Amino acid sequence: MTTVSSGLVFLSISEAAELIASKKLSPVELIDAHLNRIDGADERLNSFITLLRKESLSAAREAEKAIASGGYLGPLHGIPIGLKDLYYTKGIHTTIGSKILRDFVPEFDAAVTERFKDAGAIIIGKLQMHEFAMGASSENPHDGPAHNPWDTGRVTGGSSGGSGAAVAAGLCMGALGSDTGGSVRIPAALCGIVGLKPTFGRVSRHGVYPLSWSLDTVGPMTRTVRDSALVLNTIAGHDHRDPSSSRRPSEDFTAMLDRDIRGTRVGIPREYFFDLIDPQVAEAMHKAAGVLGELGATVDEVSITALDHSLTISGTILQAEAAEVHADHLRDKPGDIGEDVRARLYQGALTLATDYIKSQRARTVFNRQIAGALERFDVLLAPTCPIGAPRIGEGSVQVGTKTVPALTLLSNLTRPFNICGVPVVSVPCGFTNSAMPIGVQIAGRPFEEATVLRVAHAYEQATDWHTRRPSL
Amino acid sequence: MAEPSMSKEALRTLAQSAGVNISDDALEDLLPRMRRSAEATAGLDALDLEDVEPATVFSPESG
Repeated sequence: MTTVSSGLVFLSISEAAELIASKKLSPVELIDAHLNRIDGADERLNSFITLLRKESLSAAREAEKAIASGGYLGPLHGIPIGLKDLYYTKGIHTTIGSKILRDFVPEFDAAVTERFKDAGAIIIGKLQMHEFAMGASSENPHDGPAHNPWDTGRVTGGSSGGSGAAVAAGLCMGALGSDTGGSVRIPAALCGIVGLKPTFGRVSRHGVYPLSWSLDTVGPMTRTVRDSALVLNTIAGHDHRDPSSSRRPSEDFTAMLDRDIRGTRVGIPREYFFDLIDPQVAEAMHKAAGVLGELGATVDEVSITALDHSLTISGTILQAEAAEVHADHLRDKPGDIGEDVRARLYQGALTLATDYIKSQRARTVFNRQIAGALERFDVLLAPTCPIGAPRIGEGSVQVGTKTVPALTLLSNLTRPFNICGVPVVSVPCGFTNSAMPIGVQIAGRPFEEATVLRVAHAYEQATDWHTRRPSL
Repeated sequence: MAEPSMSKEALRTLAQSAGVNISDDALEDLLPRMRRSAEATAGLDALDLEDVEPATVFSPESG
């Protein structure tokens, strides 16, 4: 492990933006540095499905010209961004990590792709993912596994594994993941970066290949909390093309970042999160709570009994909706779907309608309990993943006295916040004895991303986990 | 409600009704998962769902 803050590829977006705005850094130089880094490192990481070398260099030259003539567009102008390969990019392959959609070329951009382009960001490539975003490891049977930059023999987490690896290793400055059961936060935690799942409806899903209509969200993955706020500033806001898009006005999510957190009420759920967890992870999370306490927050336990039903509610809804999304694929080309995803889709296809509705009714009770807890507390604090990144191909792991399937375990602690749709961010909070990153989640009330980000930023500034880089 | 003791034959019938062709081996693998899932869903009754509507409801305004 090394602490590195120099080098263009490890600048934060906000640092690079200042240099670009003041014309001390050329977007062409920045993209060149990232393309060189990709050439040197991605053979070991397998984080890109499609590298947009020519396109990104051409966009960088345009950005350079525009900025030189006074046309600076803002903090993402000239910044290299990667997109998980389920965001539609006009004229560019979008595979959803699948064999079935290997040749799919969208005829339009996703809303978020449009917003990035309008902000002058440079799409450097399309990133590796778990097939159909339906899994937490990014061990993709068609493209091979994404490799964790902290130990290339270990998984990145998923489903946005390429995004996690690429950002952590300095292959792009920020990326978009999507989060249905934790797919932004899991790879963020396992790769040692920041991952934000905004409130359901905050960011348009137009042009995002769906997995589960009532759970899917779009979220940034970056190396700092401020950078996630900057990306959210760009992608948030109403879009009439997405029926679930909120009409609530967007805001500047960086505005409150530097305010202190004295008096902020932090709740740690008593149930569920610590039932099946590596003690190293639990200790790291409790130390993070201690840091928030030292910063002036009040930290207390909170009881949310419905949490014990998280996996049933989330699993039933997600699998049933995913089976409908992929009904044609499952009926016509089941052999082209990887074994693990196919098994989950079968399970969803055979879910009884009554069980689906019952899970949605239980979701109502679940959401009321979370809302009740968030009346008493400003944020909830919980570990992101119960273990550090398992080895690639490792079927099961030992947690305490139990042997449990590694991949299902990874999403146990992230799923609750998809059920209720609240904003939640994962930030680095330590390392396991195997030198693998650990993350902690901070969740808040619906549409209070600013509070969640403020608490995360305060924690980040009080610690140095976010400054550490994998020695790839 | 799904019976916790569901059989492979019941799953096969369900798959046929859903228009999904699942191999015998896959059905064998699926059976314990489906049983666990049915038991877990039955366990949601512990939340007291009386008079509780599903989280997703039709809104005539949103179409």
